[in-house]
Amino acid sequence: MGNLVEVQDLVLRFYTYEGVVKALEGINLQIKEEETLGVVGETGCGKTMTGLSILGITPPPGKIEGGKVFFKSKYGKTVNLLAQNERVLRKIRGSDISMIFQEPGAALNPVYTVENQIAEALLHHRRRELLEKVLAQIEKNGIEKKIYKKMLENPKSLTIKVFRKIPIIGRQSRLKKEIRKEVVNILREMEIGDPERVADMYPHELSGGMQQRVVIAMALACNPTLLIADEPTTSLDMTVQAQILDLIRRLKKTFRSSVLYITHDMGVIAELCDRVAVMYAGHICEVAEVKELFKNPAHPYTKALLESIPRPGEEFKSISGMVPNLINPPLGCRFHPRCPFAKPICAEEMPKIKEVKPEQFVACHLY
Amino acid sequence: MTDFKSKLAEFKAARQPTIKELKFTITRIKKSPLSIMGLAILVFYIALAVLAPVLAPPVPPPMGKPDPFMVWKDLNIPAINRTLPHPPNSIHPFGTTEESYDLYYGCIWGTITAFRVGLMVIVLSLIIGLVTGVIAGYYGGIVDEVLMRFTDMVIAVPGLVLCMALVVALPPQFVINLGFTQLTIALSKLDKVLLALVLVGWPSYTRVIRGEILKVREEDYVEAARAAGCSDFRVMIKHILPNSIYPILIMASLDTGAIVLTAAALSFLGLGAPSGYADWGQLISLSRNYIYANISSPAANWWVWLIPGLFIFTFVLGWNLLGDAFRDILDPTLRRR
Repeated sequence: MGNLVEVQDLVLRFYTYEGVVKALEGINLQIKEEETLGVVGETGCGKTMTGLSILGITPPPGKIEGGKVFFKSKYGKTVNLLAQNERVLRKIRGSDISMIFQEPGAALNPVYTVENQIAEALLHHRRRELLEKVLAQIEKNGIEKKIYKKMLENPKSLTIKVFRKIPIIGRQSRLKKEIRKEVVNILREMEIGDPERVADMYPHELSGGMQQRVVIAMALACNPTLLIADEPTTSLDMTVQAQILDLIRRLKKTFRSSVLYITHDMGVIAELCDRVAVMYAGHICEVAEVKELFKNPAHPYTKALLESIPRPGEEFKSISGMVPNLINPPLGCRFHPRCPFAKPICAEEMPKIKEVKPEQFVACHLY
Repeated sequence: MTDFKSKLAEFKAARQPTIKELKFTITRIKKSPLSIMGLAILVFYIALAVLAPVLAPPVPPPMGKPDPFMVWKDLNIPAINRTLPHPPNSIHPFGTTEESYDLYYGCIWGTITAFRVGLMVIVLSLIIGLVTGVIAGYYGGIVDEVLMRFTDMVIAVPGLVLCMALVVALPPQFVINLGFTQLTIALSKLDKVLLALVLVGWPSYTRVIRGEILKVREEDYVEAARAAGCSDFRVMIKHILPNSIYPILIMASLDTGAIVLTAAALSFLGLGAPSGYADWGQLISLSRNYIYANISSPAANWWVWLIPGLFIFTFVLGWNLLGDAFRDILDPTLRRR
C-alpha cells in the first residue's frame, strides 16, 4: 500500500512577543492508505499543529518555515499541499481531508440546525452529484428541468446564487428534499436513533456524544480519504467514548479512508491504531507498529509515557521535570534534561531518526 | 378545494421547522410583558405615522404650507396674541406654541420625522459599522490598527458637540466632479443632521462588532469551517457574522431611541430642521421662551413642553423595551433558556 500523506521536514514557528516558539522542528511522517496512525504526546507538543499543517492551515502568528506535505488526492495526483494556493486547498479541505475537533460543542456553529451544518458541506463539495440525482427524478420536460440543467452546467454561477435567495421562486424544493434525504442517511449511518428529529435540532439541544456524532457526520459527508481526528473523545465520558471509537473504526472500514488520530490517551491508541508516532516538544521521537511500541518501546520518552499510565494497586508514576519551553528549547535532544539515560552527546547533538528494527523508527543517541 | 388543502398541508409539512420556530418566537414575546409594551408603543407610533394625513389633514395656504411637513400657523388669532402659546382648546387639541403653530399637527407629523431620522441614521451607521468592523476584526493587522485609531479619534470628541460642529460645517451641497459630468448632491437642513449623526454614530458599531468578531474568530467552529474548505468571505458571512451580530442589533434598537433624542436636542438648539418643521425637538424649541411661565406658577404653560416631551419619551422608551425583547428573542444562545 502506498503512502497517502508524506510529511517531510516540516518546520512551524510562531512569532510572538516573547520570542520565536519553535512548535514543530523537522517532522517526518507517513500515513499509509487505509491505516490509522496515532499521534501521541503531552499537551503542547505540536500534535494538533501537525494535523492542521496537513490541511494547510496555520493559525496566526504561525508560519511554516520549511518542509513538504505530499498528499495523494482522490484523482490519483500527488501534490505538495504547502505549495498550493488557497483555491486548490479549499477544494481539498472537506472533500479529501477533513477534521474532527476536540470539543464537539465548540466545533458546531450554534446558529444553524444540524441539517444546515451538514448540508453546507454537501452543497460545497457534492453539489454536482446532488443536482444530477435531482435531474434524474424529473420526468416532465418543462421549465423545472431546464432550470436544473442550467444549474448543473454552472453550479457556482452568481445568478443562481442570487435566485436561490429569493423566497418561493428560489425554493429549490427538489434539491432541498434531496439534501434532506442525504443528511438523514448520513445521520443514520452515525447510529443516531432518530435522525429525522435530530436534523432539525440546534447543537446545544444535543448531548456531547450526539454532538460528536454530528461532527463526524459533517467530516465524513464527502467521503474524505483522510480523516484527522483531534482528540475526538477526550471530552466525552467512557461509555460514549467507546461508542465513538467503535463508530470511527466501522466508518473507516466502510469509507476506506485513513485516519490520523491525535490523542494523549495510550488506551485509545492501543484500541484503535495500526501505527503510532510519539511526539515530544515539536519532534517525533518514535514511530512504530502499535503492538511493537507497547511491547518493546525504544525511546526513553515512550518508555516513560507507558510507565505513567495509571494502573490499579500501583503507585502513580510521572515523568520527572517539566515540559520544555519551546521558545528556548534545550540544545541537542529536547528530552535530555528529563531523560534517565542521558549521555553527554545528548546535550550537544540532535539525534536523527533511524530505523532500529523493521518498521520501528527512533530518534535517540542510545541506538 | 381539497386539492388546495392537500397542497397547504404539504407546504406546512415542508416548512415545519420554520413554523415551529416562529411559534416559539411568538410564545416567547407573549411571555414577557415588557416586550409587548415596547411593541405596542411602536405599533401605535407606526399607526400614527401611517395615518398622519387622516388624523391631521394638511391645512391649505395661507395658514399652512405646500409642504405637509411644515406646521400650520393659526392666523385667526389676533396678531397681538400670536406670539403667546395658547392652551388646548377645540381648534387646537394640544394647544399652540409661540407664533401660534398648531402643536397637535406638529406632534402627529413629527412621528414620521422621528422614524425617518432614527431608522435612516441607524441603518446607515449599521452598514458602515458592520463593513468596517468585520474587516478590522477578521483581518487584523494594519487595517485594524488604522480603523481603530480613527474610531478612537471620533469617539474621543463628545458626540453632541461633534454633531453640532458637523451640522454647522457641512456645506448645503456637494459637487462631485465625475469628469464627464458633475453630480450635485443638495443637503437640506434635516439631511445635514442625518449625515452628522451617521458620521458620529458608526465608530461605536465598528468597535462593538470588531470585539465580537475577535471573540468568535477564535471559536472552533470557525476553524472547522475553514477545515471544511470555506472561503474567507463565506466564513465571515455564514459563520462569524450570525454569531456576532446580536449585540449590535440590540445596540441599534436601543440607539434608535437615543438618536431621536440627540436629533431633538440639536433641533432644540436650533441646528436641526428648519423653523416650523414638524419635529418634536423643534416644537419644544419653538416656545422655549415660555417653558418657565412665571414665579407664582412656573408650569402654567405645561402643554408646550409636556406634550412633545411625552411623545419623545414614549418613543424612546418603546425602542429601548424592544431592544431588550430582541435580545431575548433573537439570540439563539439565549432563546432556549
